[in-house]
Amino acid sequence: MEIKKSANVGEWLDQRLGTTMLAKVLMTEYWIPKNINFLWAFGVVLMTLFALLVISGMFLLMYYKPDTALAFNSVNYTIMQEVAYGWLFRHIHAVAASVVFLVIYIHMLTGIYYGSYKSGREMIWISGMLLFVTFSAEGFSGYMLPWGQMSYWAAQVITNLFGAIPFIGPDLVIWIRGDYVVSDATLTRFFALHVFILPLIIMGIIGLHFYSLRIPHVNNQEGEEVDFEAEARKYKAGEKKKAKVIPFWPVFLSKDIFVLSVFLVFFFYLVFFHYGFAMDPINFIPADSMKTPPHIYPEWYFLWSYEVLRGFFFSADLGLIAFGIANVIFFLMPWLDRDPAVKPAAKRPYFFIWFWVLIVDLIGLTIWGKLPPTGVNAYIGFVFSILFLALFIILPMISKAERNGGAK
Amino acid sequence: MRELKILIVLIAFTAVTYWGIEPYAHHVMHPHTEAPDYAFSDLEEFHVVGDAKAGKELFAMNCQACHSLSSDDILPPMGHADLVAAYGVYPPDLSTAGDLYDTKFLANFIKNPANTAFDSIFKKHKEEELAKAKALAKSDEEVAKLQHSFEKTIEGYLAKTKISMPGFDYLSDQEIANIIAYMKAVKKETTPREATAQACGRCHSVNYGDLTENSSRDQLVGYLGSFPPDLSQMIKSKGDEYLHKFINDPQKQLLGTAMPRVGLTEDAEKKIVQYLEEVGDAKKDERNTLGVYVLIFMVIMAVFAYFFKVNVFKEVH
Ligand code: HEC
Ligand code: HEC
Ligand code: HEM
Repeated sequence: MEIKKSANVGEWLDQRLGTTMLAKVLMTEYWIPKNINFLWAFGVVLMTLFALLVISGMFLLMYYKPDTALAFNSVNYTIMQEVAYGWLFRHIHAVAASVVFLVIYIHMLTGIYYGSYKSGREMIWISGMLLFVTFSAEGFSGYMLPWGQMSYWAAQVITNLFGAIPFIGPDLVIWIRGDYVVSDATLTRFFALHVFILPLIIMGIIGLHFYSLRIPHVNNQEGEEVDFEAEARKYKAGEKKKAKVIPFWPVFLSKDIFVLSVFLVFFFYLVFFHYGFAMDPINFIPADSMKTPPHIYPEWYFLWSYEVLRGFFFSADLGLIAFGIANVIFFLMPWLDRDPAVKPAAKRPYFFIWFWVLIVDLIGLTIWGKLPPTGVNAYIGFVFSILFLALFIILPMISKAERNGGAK
Repeated sequence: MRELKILIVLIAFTAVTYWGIEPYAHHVMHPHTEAPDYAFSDLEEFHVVGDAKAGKELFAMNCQACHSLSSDDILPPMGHADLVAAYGVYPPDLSTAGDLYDTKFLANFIKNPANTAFDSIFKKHKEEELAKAKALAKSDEEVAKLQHSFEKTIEGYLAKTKISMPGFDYLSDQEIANIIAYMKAVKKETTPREATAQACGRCHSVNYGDLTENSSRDQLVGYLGSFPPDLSQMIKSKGDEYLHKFINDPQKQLLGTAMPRVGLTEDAEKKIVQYLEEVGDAKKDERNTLGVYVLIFMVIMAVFAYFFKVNVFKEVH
């Protein structure tokens, strides 16, 4: 290929990197169905939150000290009080880490509602679930770093769970902690995971997640099968109003940017004026291995699975099994749903009920996951836990019934 | 329209979840407790007017052996280390006592320190508990058992001496009132930081405010039975409402705690909590100011984004 003298930087780059082609593939000729609502903007919101986490995290990293003797003060004094705007980066990081899970849950449940996990979209779903799992690990490891009371005790309790795994359990716990108890060795390895290993893996999986959207394209509000090539041709021929698709840039993103801006108003309100939910008060007490706090609970986004664990209050083993199931069951959505037709829940009478019961159950589990498991609370938690498992047992049956035309 | 419906559903479910894990969970985990009682209504009333001049002499005779009073040039009787070694904790300088402490509390404290700072309130709370348990008890036998265990608890509690200052119950009410009148006559006004150093500093450090404790960790644990935590982040971990209630009467929040009731006036307590906030949340003003600017910026950006969207979508809809 002959390289010609270029008139400007754009041309110069284009000759060497094919930027015009790249922009088409990724932006101006990446087609999105027109028939979607603002819930489809949450992927871009997630991307933005991830970017905010990475940027604020880099600033925190410049002053944080991963040492049990120094960590607490490096965060609460050096970063929060001495470094110019250190508090801002910490607030952004903490609030984004909490809110990202709210948005992930909305994003996941949108996928479930519209059936966006099946008929060719299985890899989108699986890569999404992998993101959920790695984000959870990222959230858990990050929560440990300020080395407050909740950092310490949540780490102690959660790592302890692995001890119940048959045969290898006790050794596994020591392997994870790097010590018999949660200690300096645990802090340094969780630090390594949090600031380097997991973010790297997450970036890789985000790449996979986006790539997996290419061939099946994103779903739409009605589950309508769109002939993307034909519609794209229409759009390019100028029949923009008639075409059922829009390009990612500028059309799809123009709406996403609006949704994102509104979301950011809410987000920054939380950052400056309402951050308590993301920074637990108990964690402003330095870690003390001799003083167990009266109530130990994980961050809010783990409460539902934590409650599935505690729900079986009469048997730790059953609880652990249920907890294990709760953590992987969503991976199996594409196969538990036996109806291959892509339709929103509103057009599937049984599934519609199933979906809203699931939402109520997840919220119930989350709320009871924080309350002390005493008295009647233990039984309510048990009912919610059983219901959660039952939902996934009946899902194949009801979806099969729907496929067979049992319901129109 | 459909989008609005979706938005409302989204907000409603998020709000219910938030309500459950924040306000409701807090309400369950931290049951409501009574407001602070700045009248110290469990204590005895003294109906005498003190005379500061007579009080100065009484102070020299009774208090100077342990306490300094720098505002009236009364120096510490011994070196710092010796005082701590002798009494377990540093007997505070009393220049600010007339300003910081409630008069009624002081009178009761001088007469019987341990009872005023600990025992009477502990006993009162235990008595309330006992009354509740008795009301629920099913048999006389059970009631007797409850009564017995109550007496045992009180006995065990009294056996632990917690305040090494002796009681001055041989002084008359008039004499005690004189001493207090004297301390008030020479009292020094305090800044929030000084108030904290005076009232809390013999036990607690406030590291982020450069206040270090007056004794070593071992000495404090030896004297109090438990280590008084650093106060730098208390405003964040406990919040100001809890702090006010706790300082006013520690037993109400943490029954059996080793921290004595210190008997601050409402004003002094406010000063101290204010200081803890200045130290623990130093960037509050900066945060509130910047927050408003950022929100204004974001709202303007949202408006622009909206018009950009409408403009782009004109072509496709
Ligand atoms: C034998 C030494 C000793 C003598 C004598 C003594 N004190 Fe004290 N005083 C102490 C010690 C020690 C403390 C600190 C006790 C503690 O915190 O447990 C203290 C604390 C106090 C406090 C602080 C109370 C609070 O609520 O924080 C006041 C006020 C006080 N003394 C007044 C007096 C007065 C007035 C006299 C004289 C009538 C007096 N003391 C005599 C040793 C003494
Ligand atoms: C005589 C020593 C002493 C003095 C004086 C004292 N404290 Fe304490 N304080 C303690 C001890 C001991 C504890 C630990 C209590 C426990 O663990 O039961 C404590 C605990 C606390 C706590 C933690 C409460 C909790 O819920 O964990 C706060 C807050 C506190 N003190 C504030 C203050 C303030 C403010 C002052 C001054 C007005 C003060 N203290 C004066 C001994 C003291
Ligand atoms: C932080 C992590 C994540 C990021 C950055 C992200 C980003 C995105 C983006 C940009 C899109 C395309 C636009 C849209 O439909 O919203 C998308 C689609 C999708 N994502 Fe994610 N996502 C993340 C996590 C997840 C998780 C945890 C799941 C669920 C398991 C998931 C499932 C899906 C599905 C099913 C789609 C396709 C939606 C459709 O076809 O309608 N994603 N994601």
